[in-house]
Amino acid sequence: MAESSAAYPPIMVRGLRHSYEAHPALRGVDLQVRQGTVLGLIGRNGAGKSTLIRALLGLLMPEAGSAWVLGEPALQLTDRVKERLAYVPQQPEAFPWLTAEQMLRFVGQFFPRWDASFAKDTLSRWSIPSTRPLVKLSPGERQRVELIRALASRPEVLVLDEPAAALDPVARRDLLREVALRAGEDGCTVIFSSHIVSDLERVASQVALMHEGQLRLHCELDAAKERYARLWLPAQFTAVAPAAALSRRAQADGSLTLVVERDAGGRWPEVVQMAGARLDALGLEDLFVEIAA
Amino acid sequence: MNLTLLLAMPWAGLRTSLRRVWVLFSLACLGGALALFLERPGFMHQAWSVATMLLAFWLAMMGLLLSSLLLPALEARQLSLPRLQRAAALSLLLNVVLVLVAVAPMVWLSGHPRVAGQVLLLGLAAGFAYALLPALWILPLLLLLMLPFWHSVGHLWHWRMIGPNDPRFIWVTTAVIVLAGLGCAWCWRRLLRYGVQPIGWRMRPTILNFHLSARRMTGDPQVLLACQTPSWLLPQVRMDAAGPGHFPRTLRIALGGVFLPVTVRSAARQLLLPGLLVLITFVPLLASKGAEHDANLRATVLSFAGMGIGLLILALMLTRSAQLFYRWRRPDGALALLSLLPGLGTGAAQTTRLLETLFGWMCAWTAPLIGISVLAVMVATHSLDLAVLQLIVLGLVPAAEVAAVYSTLGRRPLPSWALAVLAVLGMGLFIAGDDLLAFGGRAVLSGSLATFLLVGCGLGYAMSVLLAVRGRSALRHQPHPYLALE
Amino acid sequence: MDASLLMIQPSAPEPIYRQILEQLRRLIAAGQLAEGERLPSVREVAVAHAVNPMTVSRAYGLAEAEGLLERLRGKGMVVAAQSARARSQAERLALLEPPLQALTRQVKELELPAELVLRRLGKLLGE
Repeated sequence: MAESSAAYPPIMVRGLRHSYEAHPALRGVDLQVRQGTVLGLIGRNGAGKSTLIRALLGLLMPEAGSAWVLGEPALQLTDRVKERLAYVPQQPEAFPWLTAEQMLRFVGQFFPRWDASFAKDTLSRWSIPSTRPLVKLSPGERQRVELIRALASRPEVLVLDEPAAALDPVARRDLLREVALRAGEDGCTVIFSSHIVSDLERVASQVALMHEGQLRLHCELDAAKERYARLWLPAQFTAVAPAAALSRRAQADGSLTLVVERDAGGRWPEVVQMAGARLDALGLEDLFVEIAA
Repeated sequence: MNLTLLLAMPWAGLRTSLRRVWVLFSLACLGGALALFLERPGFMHQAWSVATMLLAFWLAMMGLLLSSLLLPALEARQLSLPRLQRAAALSLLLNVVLVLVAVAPMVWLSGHPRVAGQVLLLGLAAGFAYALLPALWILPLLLLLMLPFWHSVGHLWHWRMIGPNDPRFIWVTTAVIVLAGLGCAWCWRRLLRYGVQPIGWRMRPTILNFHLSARRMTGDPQVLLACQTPSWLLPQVRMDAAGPGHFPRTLRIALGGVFLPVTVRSAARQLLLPGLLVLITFVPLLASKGAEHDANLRATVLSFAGMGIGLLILALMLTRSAQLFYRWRRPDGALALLSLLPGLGTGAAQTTRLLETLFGWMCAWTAPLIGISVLAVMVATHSLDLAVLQLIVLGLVPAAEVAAVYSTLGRRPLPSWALAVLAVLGMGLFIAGDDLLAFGGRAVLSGSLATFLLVGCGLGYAMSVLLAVRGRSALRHQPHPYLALE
Repeated sequence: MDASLLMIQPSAPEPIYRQILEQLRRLIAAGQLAEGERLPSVREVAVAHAVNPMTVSRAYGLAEAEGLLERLRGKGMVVAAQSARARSQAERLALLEPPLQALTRQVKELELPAELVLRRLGKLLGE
């Protein structure tokens, strides 16, 4: 683990562009993730989250740009990296004919650091019928099996695409706990896409907001909450609105809503002090809605 | 709900462009039939029967269209709108009456009202039956209809079609129509009583399955099928000798579906049904005695060796290719796992291992089957020429499969219309091959049928080579073979 | 102290580390956490609330820097000795500053006279 952490960032993405039938999905994305980070990737449906994830895992050939995982080009990963990488897709479909037990045993053989007892314990703790073929399990159970597969390989880089979508609240909390501990204690790097923002807020250390194929925001989660706020300006002040705002929406009555940022000294733009202006602290979900709406 | 709305209900679900096509199609059918009926005798031999067939075809299509009223009825059930639900059924009945009233004068014009009327009702019933009867019944029904055309087997069982001049014609057709009508009504009522969910896709009407599968077009048909298969019939996977270093087997497990290595018991269970079919055909044959025995045996062996095995090879090839295509179209399913599983190699090595597995599995199935088939033709006909011809025709299947594998992995799939054209061509070649075998002998070999066969095969091989080369060069430029088609 | 006593609202605009820090300040200032009392370990808090351990240790680190907590070898984090004595009134009042400012803003938005609000507040405080 020390070897990989010292030499290169677990995930690096440069200038990624991709489109599906002339519909652009990624328009130049740069991203670098440090070891031990839990990066929450948020964005609306179709914002390009899954495309970004698949490009950074080498599952698609982007039109431009490149991605590296643990120092290797994503499209030519060797076993050294594959053994340390785990990915759970949005709708797991692999191995539908095997039972959960068979699948975990089969896949486990390929990972040198496979934690068979974790797989076994979690399978029973998450009450998954281990003798029925996976195709006969509910989507939630199927997803839990996939998560067990990913976690049992003790990965250094864990990529989860909408992992919580099919889980009930208890299983979701369990998953978040596991992810948080893996990152905080083992230094695992996690990328986690979701549109359930409250899940991200628990465990993410960084947040990246994708909108229309671009990363509109990438910073520490705490910084996102402290550094940005929503400023409402009545109609007569709109002329003095700060030019550099993350989003800007004109309301029907002529007033203006902006997402503003503190400067290097931690101060808000001066217009905040004007009588009638209103500054609201934003939760992550509100920030997301302000930027992506 | 007023009468106009009720009558317009089946059209409401159609797109405007489709509605226009439908109107044109109807005008062509009805106008053509009317013109043929009104023609003086002598212009065309039995013009009335051609017109009747045309009308029957139109009625069958009307049956399909009207069957789609099931969908709004089901939707109304789900939304708890019993009046709308009843309206759909009422609209169906009204439209059927309207259609029958529209064709009634033509039946009278035909001069053979009894036969023509029966044939037209049969057409309408066929349309409804195809759309509304449980999907599971459709295939056996179609096979039953096709059996008389399968020369040798039809001959063996002494099946003869009951023609319109047969006195039993009216009774048989009436029975068929009534049965079809009752079956459709039963299916309709059952769906509206219990809803879609508790009824598996096999017992659902075809029109509903079309509708549902159109909504999730990307679904892997094999996975959808597995969802509906009872657990005891699902393949039991052989897990031994799979793991790091054991390539073909490991990749076969990961590819799943037809590639899965299964346990002996599981294989036996899956072979139960086809085995039964073979038994049903051969047991009475072997038990029979007399002068016809030898001829019958020869004919049956030939049709099994020719058409039967040929169709089996074709079906296996199509299943494998379709599965590969669907796997490669879903970026997130098995593909992601295959691409990220350690121990399967990197870059070119990854491609080689995958191709070895795919082609190895193809050979393991296709080569012995082709061998048996060619040998059987040779033994039954004592003709080397026919055996060679059989080899040439059947060899087309693996050639096409190699092309399909390279096209899929190289992400250069053919557009669906081209596939449809190729499928029709392939079917034509098979039927021609079967005819040649059934009528047997050297005499036919020099005929136009053989020429068509050879030219068709030549084209097929050329096409396969072209597609394989195209896909292979694309595959070489890819960093790894597990990139999804998009 | 048990980890579940902390209240964490991930969706609140306030970052989680700040929520923990504020709660520690309040609990210690009010004397609800006595001097030398052991705090739940970072891992315990992370597991109980399914939050990132780094967030918890950040809050603990800040509290330590403020002198609220101290790290004891073998015992983990405990409430610091110096903070056991009741804080000065001014310090405790400072903790109320953010809610008071929010209240002031709302009073202005509602255009209520100050004395009316003060009277009501006095009543609530049981004067």
